[in-house]
Amino acid sequence: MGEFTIPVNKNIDSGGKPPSAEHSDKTTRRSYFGVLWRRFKRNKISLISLYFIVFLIALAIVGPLILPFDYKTMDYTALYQKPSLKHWMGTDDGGRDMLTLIIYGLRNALIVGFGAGLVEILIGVTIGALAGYFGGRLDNILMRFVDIMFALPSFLLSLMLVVVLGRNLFTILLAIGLTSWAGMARLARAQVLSIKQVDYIEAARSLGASNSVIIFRYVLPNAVGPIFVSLSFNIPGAMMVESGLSLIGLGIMPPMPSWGALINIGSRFILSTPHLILYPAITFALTILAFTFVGDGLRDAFDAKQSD
Amino acid sequence: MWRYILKRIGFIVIALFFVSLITFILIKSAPGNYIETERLITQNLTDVNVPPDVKEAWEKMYHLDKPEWQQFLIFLGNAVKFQFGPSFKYPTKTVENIIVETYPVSLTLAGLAMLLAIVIGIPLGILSAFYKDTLIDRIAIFLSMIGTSIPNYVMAVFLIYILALTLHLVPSIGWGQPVNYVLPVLSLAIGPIGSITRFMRSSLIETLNQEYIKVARAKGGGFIQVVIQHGVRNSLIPLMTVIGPQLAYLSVGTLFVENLFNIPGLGKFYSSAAVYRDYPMVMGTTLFFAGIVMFVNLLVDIVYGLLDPRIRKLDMNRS
Repeated sequence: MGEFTIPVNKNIDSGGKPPSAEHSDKTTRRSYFGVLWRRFKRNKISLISLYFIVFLIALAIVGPLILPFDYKTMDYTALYQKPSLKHWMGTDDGGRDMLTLIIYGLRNALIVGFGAGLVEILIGVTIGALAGYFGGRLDNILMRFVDIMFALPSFLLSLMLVVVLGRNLFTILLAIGLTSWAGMARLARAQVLSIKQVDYIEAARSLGASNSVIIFRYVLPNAVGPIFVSLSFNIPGAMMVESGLSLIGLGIMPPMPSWGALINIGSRFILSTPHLILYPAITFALTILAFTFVGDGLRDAFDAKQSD
Repeated sequence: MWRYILKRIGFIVIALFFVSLITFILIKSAPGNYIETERLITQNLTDVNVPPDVKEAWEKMYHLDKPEWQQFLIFLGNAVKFQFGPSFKYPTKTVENIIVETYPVSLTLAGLAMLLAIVIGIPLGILSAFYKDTLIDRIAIFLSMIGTSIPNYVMAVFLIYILALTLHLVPSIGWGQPVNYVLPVLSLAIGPIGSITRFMRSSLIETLNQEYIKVARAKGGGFIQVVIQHGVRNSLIPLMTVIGPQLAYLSVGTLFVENLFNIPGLGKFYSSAAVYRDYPMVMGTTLFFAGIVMFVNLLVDIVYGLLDPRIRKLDMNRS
C-alpha cells in the first residue's frame, strides 16, 4: 500500500498538477482531485447533497429570470392563498408568491454564505499563514489578536456592524465575514506550522525559492483540505447568521426577502396559514443539511488515513 | 492554578475593553441620531428639527454634550460599577435595571435547555455507543446530526407545527404559564442534545476499547458495572469540553427563540434595542453578553481542570 500512495502524495506536493510521465503506472494516472472525487463519491448522502446544492445554485441564478412574479409587487386580490397551480407555494400576507420569495431568499442566503466564506478565507488564511510561516514576534502579535477576536461573541459583533454599516446584502456579508474568521486563522496557522517542517519545503528553500513562492506554491496548496472542509461548515453558519439577523428585524431591508424574515412574518400567521412559515423553514433546513453532509463527505475524502 | 485563573481573568478584562471600544466606535460612526429618527417614526413628522432646548437637555442627560473620548471614559467608569445609565427608549429605566429584570427569563430558558440536553443526550449517547452500527445507533446519529446543524429558530417552527398545531399537546403562543416553556426549551435543547449524543458516543466507543474494560468484562462484569461505572465515568469529564461552548452559545442563542415566541427575555430587548438604535441599551447589553460568554468559558475550563488533574498540570502551567 505504501508503494502506491507515494506517487499520489508527490502529486499533492506539486499543487494538484498531473503526475509526470515517468510515474504513470496504472495506479498513479489519477489526479489529486480524481482521488478526492472517488473518495467523496463513496458517501451517497454527501453526493446527493452536492447535487442538491448545485441544483439550488442553478435555481438561484435561473429562478429570478424565469419566474412570472417578482418579490416586490403586492397583489391584494390574492392574500394568504393556499398552494395552487398558479402559486405553487401559496401567497403571503401581501399576496406575493411564496415560491418567488423563497427563491430570492435562497439567492440571498447563497450570496451571503459564499461571500462571507470568501471574506473569512481571505482574512483568516492570510493572517494564519503569515503567523505560522514567519513565526516569532509576528506570530505572537497576530495570534493574540486572533485570540481576542475568537473570544468576542461574533454574532453580537456582526449585529453591531449591520446596525452601523446598513442593511444590504453586501454589508451583511461583510459584517459576518469580518467577525468570524478567527477559527479559520487558527486552522491555517496550524496547517502551515505542520507543513513547513516537511523536507520538501527545506528542499525548495535550499534551491533558492522565495518566501512567497514557498507559501503559494508549496504550503497553501497542501493546506487546502482542512480549509475547504471548514469552509463547507462556515457557509451554512453564515446563512444562519443572515437569517437570524432577518428574524430579529436586522437583516436585509424589506421588501427584499430573506428566509429569516419569511419565518418571522410567517410566525404571526402560524395558526391560520402555517404554510407561510413551513415552506421557508423546510427549504432552509434542507439547504443547511445539504451543506453539512457535503462537509462531512469532504472531511472523509481529505482524510489521508483513508485508502484511496 | 490561581495564577492561571488570574491570567484568564486579565484576558477577559482586556477582551471586554476591546468589546466596549469596538461597540463605542461603531455606535459613534453609525448614521442618524436617536432623538431625530424617533421623532420621525413615532410622530410621523417630516421635519427633523428638534427644539434646541429639548435636544440640549436630552444630550446633557446622556452626556452627549461632552467630547467623545470623555464619553467613552464615562461609559467605562460606570461600566465597571455595572451602571450603563438610562435607556433611550425607556428613559425612566436604566439599562442595568432592564438587564436584571429580563435576563433571568433568558437564563431560565438556557438553563432548562441545557439540563434537558444533558438528561437526554448522555443516555442516548450511551445507547448508541453500546449498540454501535445497529439501527438504533444509525437513527441516533442521524437525529443528532440534524439537531446540531439546523438552527434553533427553524427547529422551533417544526416543533410548533408538530406539537402544537398537529398534535395539540401544548399551546403555540402565550407566555406566563409553565407549559409555555415547553416549545422554546425543546427547540433550544435539540442542538446541544445532538452534540452531547455524538460526543458521548464517540468517547464511550473509544473507552470501551480500552484494555481495562476488557479486563472488567472478562472478570464477568455486567452491563451496568462495565459500561456505566467504568466506561461512562471516564467519558463524563471530557464531556465538559462540549457542554461549555454549548452553554456559552445558549446564553446568547436564546435571542432568536425569544423573538420567535415573543418571550420578554433580555435577547428580545437587546434585538429591539438594536433595531431602534437605543445605543446605551445596545452597549450595555453587548458588554454584558460578551462578559457572560467569556465567564462561562472560564468557568468550564476551571471545572475541567479541577476534575482532571492531568489537564491542570499540562494546560495551566503552559499558559
